[in-house]
Amino acid sequence: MNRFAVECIDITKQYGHLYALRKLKINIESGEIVGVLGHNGAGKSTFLKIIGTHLSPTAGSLKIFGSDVKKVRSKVRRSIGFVGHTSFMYDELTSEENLRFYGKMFSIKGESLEKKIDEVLDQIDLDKYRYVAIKKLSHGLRKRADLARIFLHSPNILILDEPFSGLDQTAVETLVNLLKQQSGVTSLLSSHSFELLNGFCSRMLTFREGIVVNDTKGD
Amino acid sequence: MGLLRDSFNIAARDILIESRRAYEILSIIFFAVSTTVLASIAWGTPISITIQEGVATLWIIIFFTSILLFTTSFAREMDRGTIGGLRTIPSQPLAILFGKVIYSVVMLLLVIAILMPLSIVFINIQPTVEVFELLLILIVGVIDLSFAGSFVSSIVMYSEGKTLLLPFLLFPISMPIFVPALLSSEKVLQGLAFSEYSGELRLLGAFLVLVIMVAFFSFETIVEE
Repeated sequence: MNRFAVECIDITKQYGHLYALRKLKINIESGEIVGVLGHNGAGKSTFLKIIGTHLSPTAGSLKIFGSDVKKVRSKVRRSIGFVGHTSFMYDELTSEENLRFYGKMFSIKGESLEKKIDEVLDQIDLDKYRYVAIKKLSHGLRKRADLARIFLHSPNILILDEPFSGLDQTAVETLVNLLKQQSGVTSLLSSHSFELLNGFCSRMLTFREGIVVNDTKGD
Repeated sequence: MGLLRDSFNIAARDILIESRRAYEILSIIFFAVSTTVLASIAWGTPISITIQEGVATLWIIIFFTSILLFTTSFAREMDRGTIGGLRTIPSQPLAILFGKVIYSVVMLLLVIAILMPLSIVFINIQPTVEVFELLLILIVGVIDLSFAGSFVSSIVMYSEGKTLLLPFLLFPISMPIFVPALLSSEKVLQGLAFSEYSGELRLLGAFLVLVIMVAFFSFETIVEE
């Protein structure tokens, strides 16, 4: 197994004349839990989207477990679970149907898929809403359904952009416990709140204007 | 195999979603039915409608129906943010396009299944012995149209004015589909031999290959931004 889960080599992301990220050089070791901090527009979401292969950098390259994302994007995606600001769940389908669709797309089939769906719905405490259409769920429950999606294929890297927004205290605790249980899994979480991340992140990256201004590792 | 399996998974999900939004497909069917009846009234008595007029009406209805379908194909994924979910799956990007194509083919064939009996009654399309030949042309035309329409839908999904842009782009792009489809349908209904319209079928096939080639080289860039 490669020492680094993520290697960012001079990554730049540009929208017209605006730089969202500037020549970013960051290595993240396997199993690290990294908190990503910064104000609005600092580049946190762009950074996470690029690592999540959700967005392509304008320049530079990204390696996930030593594999160049440009060359093996599909393969790399098997090891990533990404939750963004907007939900990726389909409104008309139930949580269970959404998870079944995404599970099939990750080549989980038949009995093992059904077992996995039961397991993640139970873990994320969404079991009693499994037959309810996503559009009928509250914002917090939708967020939980989206979180259930990424645990489905047991990824090695979890990327969560503002995962705590819209969640009540119980759901935050459930998610934090769930993340702590993922031993060996590399996690990247963004938030505006230092206090929320400080409790369990082993490393903190602070972004400002597309660059990392502070990189602190815990003891 | 993976590409096909993923494409069918995406298509099955779209059909399931459509079944939960029955009003959308019903409005498409209603549009097709009402246009057939209105065209019949406009042409006079159904019996006086010529093969050329009947076939032209049928393909015009299919074209406008397809526009209603393609305007929501990728646009809905984009507007709701679920395109992001499709960018996280470990499939070949083409699976997304093929999934949308399969979904469009199924929906358009459903519309045609309803249109065909109505066309016999209202616009004097009388396939007697040539019913399978006519169906073959309709199916090939619908597959062509679904590829072209879904591809254009993916190109315009980032645009603010996508609902306006789609018909503007689809109209000229679909001309190489409509001209041979229309001509071959006419020839079939006139009872001409296969050799008389095999050229038009070859044109439809060539256009399909062209669209697939263009999609093969460009779709990844389109969908991955």
